[in-house]
Amino acid sequence: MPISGLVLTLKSPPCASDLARDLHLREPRLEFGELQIDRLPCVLETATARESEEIHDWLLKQPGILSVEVVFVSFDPPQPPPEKVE
Amino acid sequence: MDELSVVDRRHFLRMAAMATATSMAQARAGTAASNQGGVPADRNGISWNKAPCRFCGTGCHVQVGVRDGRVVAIAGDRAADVNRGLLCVKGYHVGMILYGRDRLTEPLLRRGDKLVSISWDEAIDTLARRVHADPAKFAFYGSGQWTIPEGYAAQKLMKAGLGNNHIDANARLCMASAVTGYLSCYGVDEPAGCYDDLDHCDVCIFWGNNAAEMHPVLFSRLIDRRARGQRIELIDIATRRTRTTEHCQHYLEMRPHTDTVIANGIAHLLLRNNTHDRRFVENHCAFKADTNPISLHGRSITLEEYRKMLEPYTPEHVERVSGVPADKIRMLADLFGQRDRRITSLWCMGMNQHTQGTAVNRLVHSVHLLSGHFGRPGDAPTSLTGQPSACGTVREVGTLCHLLPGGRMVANAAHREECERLWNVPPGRIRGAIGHHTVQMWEKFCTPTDKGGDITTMFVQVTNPGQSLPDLERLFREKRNLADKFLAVSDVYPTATTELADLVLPASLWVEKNGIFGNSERRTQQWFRMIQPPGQARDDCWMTIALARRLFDLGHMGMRDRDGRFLFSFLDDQRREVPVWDWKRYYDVNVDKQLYEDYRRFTRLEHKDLAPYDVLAASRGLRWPVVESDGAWRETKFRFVENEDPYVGRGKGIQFYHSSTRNDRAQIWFCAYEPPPEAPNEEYPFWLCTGRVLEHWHTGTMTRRVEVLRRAMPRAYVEMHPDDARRLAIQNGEIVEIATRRGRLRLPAWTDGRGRPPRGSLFVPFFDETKLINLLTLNAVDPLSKEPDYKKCAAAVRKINGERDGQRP
Repeated sequence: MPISGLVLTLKSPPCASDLARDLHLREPRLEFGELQIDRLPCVLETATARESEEIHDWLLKQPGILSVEVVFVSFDPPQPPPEKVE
Repeated sequence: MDELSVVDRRHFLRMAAMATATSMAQARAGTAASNQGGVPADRNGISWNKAPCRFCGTGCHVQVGVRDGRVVAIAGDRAADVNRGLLCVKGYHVGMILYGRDRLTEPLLRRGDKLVSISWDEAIDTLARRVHADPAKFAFYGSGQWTIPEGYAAQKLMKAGLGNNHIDANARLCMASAVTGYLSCYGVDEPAGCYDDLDHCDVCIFWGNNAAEMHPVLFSRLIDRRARGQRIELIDIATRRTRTTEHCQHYLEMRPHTDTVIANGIAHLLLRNNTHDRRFVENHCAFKADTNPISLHGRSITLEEYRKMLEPYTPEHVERVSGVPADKIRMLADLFGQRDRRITSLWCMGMNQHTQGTAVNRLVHSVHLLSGHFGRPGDAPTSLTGQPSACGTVREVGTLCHLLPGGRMVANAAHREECERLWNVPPGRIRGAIGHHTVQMWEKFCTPTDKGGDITTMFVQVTNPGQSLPDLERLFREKRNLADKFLAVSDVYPTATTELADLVLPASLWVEKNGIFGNSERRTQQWFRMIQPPGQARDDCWMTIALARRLFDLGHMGMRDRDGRFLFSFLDDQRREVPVWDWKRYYDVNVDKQLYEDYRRFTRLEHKDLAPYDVLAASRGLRWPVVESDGAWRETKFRFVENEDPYVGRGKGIQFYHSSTRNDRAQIWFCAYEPPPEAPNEEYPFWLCTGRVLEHWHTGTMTRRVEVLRRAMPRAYVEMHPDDARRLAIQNGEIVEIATRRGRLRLPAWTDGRGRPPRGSLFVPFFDETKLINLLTLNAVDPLSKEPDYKKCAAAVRKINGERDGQRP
């Protein structure tokens, strides 16, 4: 279960609480912390790393979000080996 | 009961993630009360400790979360000046590189076609007997990923023990031209400026440097300033559009190999317009030009001679050669002519991997010196490195065939004598003849012994030459046909190099061992071991000491010092020798600390004084020279500048105290443009450039085992211009064959990738071991730095049969 800590940089800080509520309703795997001017901390927990990437990409497309920074990553399973030399 | 003791690990990780995100949000928003904080302290069985990231030369610090002997989480380290809590996509996944399923966990020896498991004792004995049988034909090939103690131990084994200078490192392939550039201009290696320049510059010029992908944390420092409303001008001088270009106000697309012409063109205009900094030049500079044959310090010339040499480099001439419009050359010269604006130049492989690498390094420094854009925060020419300790281990410890520790030279008798005294070895132990540099070393190893191939046993640590060397067939794969050659490789995963190895040694990785790195801004960074390595994997430093001890036991006299004692002696608190060559005893003492303190004695000659180990351990790294003042250890941000650098004399302002002309002056160089060794023609009509991508680090042996990164960038590809593709009837994503005079390779063609080469140019990344682009690259080297040119050779593209890859890069 990958857990990520993210910092969202918002385009319009005044509506941040509405934005956080809206994002949480649409994506309940996101949990939001306290807004710091235009930076909104949040935690994302998903079943797979691929889901984390998809939500990261989805966040980037949301109006009101300028950028998404990953600041914390947890992980568990061993990583599979890549392809060998042909 | 402590609330945390009853929550499960998952909840704790969620809390840690939120704490980190909140503290980073505070820091980024400017609402943080202090620079500390972030992840919660050691609670609930998860302990957090600092370490520099394992990947590039930026030197970001991470916080590593460990529970039950496993790394379970990574967070950016807010207390680190380098990255202030930020990491790139590789950095956040650095912990996962430890847990690939195919970690090497036991020594393996080739018997017939197979690698079979053997004991460590047999492994060390096998290698030692090969070396002992013919020490002069042994070579040690290391890395800018060696920790400082690892590199120092290897250096001591070779030069003080075996009297053999055939030791070189893969950093020869990436930053050797930066070294010769610094030495030529300042008489001493490594940048005068530091990352603080990025916070103060008004203009940042990227000279063939895709910093947005290769040094993303440093690049974000610039972009963040712009996001905060600061005016900063970014200029990209490059041979293709990249992610860096997207953020720059100016993109100057040059023809490959013509950066020397651009730099000369700027200097030409500074003199013609009288906008050079006359006072700075009169007080602090002298002029140099090349000799024939070329030499490191060239010959002195006058300002008038210099002016005359630059005369042909008019903006119109520069435009004709480089393709950069004359107006843009004037724009650059006007910028450098403005004293009130601060200019930082950054470069990396684009300038270094170049048969005129030394020349273009000299010329970019010279533009800064001529215009006086030097010595103020934000005014600096700074090369970046690609490996975490290319500076610390290779340049400073001197793990190259011509160097001794602390900037000393093999060819200098006084330097050899000083090293023999410090190492307490008999006079004459260190040879005066320079050893084989990387390309030469591998050429000798891959040449039959009876035809002059005078290297028969090679020990490779912490690097993957089977993928990273140029012209791989000639410089690596020829080994397959040479039965008397013996290749020993220490690594953490199977690689293109272990494929041909006769002996494979499983190595500890990153926080499985103690370590010290030195980053691109002269910052030395220490970390402690946090977890055990898997299986029988052991530290590279231990392997070197164990090899030395076995040679000692076999009677090799070089393993004894003047007093007959073993070359590597480690003492406990009671001053009793600890036999660290016995792995069970290796961590009875801090071997890293003792090696590092031994090495520190060498660092003062060139005023690269390092901090004591315990001071480093308590810091997030310190930039040398580090000197003690009023009981505190003080680092140096800006070298050669009064009140910053403790070695600059009072009242001097700027003092180049290692000047090659011994008069405190830096050298402004003229170097003429020379054509590349290979250029497109009818048969091979394209330029081929190779390089890196954001998601993978160098040959991908670590990052390709991280699922997230592998999925983001699964395989190599060739970028080409849509017009070229159309002309050859190649569809986007279709498999094509790239050919050069050295080999062929099939790759998917992408015409709308993240990089946009111009017509007539191709780009292929080298991270993918299933598509070895270095089978095609050129082994021509810069005449001084001996660094190969991976950035340009002539290539052809051939349509195959419409086969498609089906995956986007």
